Amino acid sequence: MDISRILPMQYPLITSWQWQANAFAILANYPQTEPWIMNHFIQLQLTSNPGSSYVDFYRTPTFEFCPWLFHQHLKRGTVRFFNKDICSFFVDCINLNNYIYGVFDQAYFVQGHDRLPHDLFIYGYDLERRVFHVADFTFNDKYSFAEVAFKQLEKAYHAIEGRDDWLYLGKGGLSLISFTDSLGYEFNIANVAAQLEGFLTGHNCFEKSREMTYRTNPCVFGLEVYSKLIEDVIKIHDKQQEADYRPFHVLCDHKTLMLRRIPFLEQHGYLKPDSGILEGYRSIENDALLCRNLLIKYLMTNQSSIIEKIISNIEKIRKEEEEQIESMLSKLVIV
Amino acid sequence: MSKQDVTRQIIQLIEQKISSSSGSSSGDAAITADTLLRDVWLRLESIQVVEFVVELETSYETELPDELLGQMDRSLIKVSDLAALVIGEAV
Repeated sequence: MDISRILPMQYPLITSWQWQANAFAILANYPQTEPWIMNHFIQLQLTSNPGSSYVDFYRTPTFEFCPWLFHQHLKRGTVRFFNKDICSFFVDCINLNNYIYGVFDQAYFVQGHDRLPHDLFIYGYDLERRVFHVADFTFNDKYSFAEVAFKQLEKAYHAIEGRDDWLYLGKGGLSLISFTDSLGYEFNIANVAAQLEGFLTGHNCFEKSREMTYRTNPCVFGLEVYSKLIEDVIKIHDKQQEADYRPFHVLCDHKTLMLRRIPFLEQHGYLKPDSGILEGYRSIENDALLCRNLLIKYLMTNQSSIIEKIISNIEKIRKEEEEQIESMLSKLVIV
Repeated sequence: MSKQDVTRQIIQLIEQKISSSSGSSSGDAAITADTLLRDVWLRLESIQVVEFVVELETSYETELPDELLGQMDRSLIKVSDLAALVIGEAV
């Protein structure tokens, strides 16, 4: 047995949510996954939950439908039946090239909490130092890599039960994820066009495969997300809703991926070159970042004038993105 | 207060922020009046960038342009330009 092992892991391109960041941290090691990434993460979904909105790419979680990832989902009871020692189980999983994803009570290793059930991603171990290599947002307020002692992780795992095990909307359990190149993926430009059209109309073109997804609260898609975010920002100003900058972080990630997608489409002959769309999207990315940072500034200062600026920026993003996507659709080369 | 004084104070504040940032390293270049803000931003967490702007606005009772909170990748604003903005000089 190896004394230590670290599975391939790179700092991910997008970091809005743990489940996206972890998937991208794996996929970044394999350039052959790029066409699949460029074919997805186009549509945005806003779910109206009580008291807050949840914005994410459609669809999520990536582990469950990415052809490059082999996903094994185990009940905690199954893990317990086959393995009394959870740390040995994790080491064995890593030796079999599986990353581990689950909910742990991070109060055992993150300072300042009595209880912190949060999802954690484990990607390596060191038997000599008795530590696991892990990734999460909880170590320093942004997605980062850290080490957690075996003993602490063991306690953190066993401290989770019942409703605290909220992985996959309450299904719970542990996910084992490994890279697989057995299926491959063929880029589908017609599907990109359908998603872009859906973004404009607010129609989710995957609605017909709804049975593959989870039950959700009411949702809006594409450009409609911006209208709903404006409503949210007004509610934040009126103290009817808690301020949350994460939806705007997702917008930034969405623009980051669009800025990567445009050259990809051009280089592969799917988009007429020098269309000016890239420059247009740089401006949209700037406005998305501005929205996120202005909301953080509002959280720090409570200045009402900031809310007006955020609303005007969201309106600008909506208008400019509509124009850029229309332009892109007219310049796509669909064979 | 002169532009040089404000520049010095801004450099001090940046250094404090960088030293508390998880991405800082002793091998990084020193901050000077000619350092581009985009290079400073790269060494700070995004929340620290916003904190920094808010702290400057509060300390100097001024309002800084929103572009400082946007994408600075291609911006040519230097630390000395920021000092000029703080004291209300044209850049």
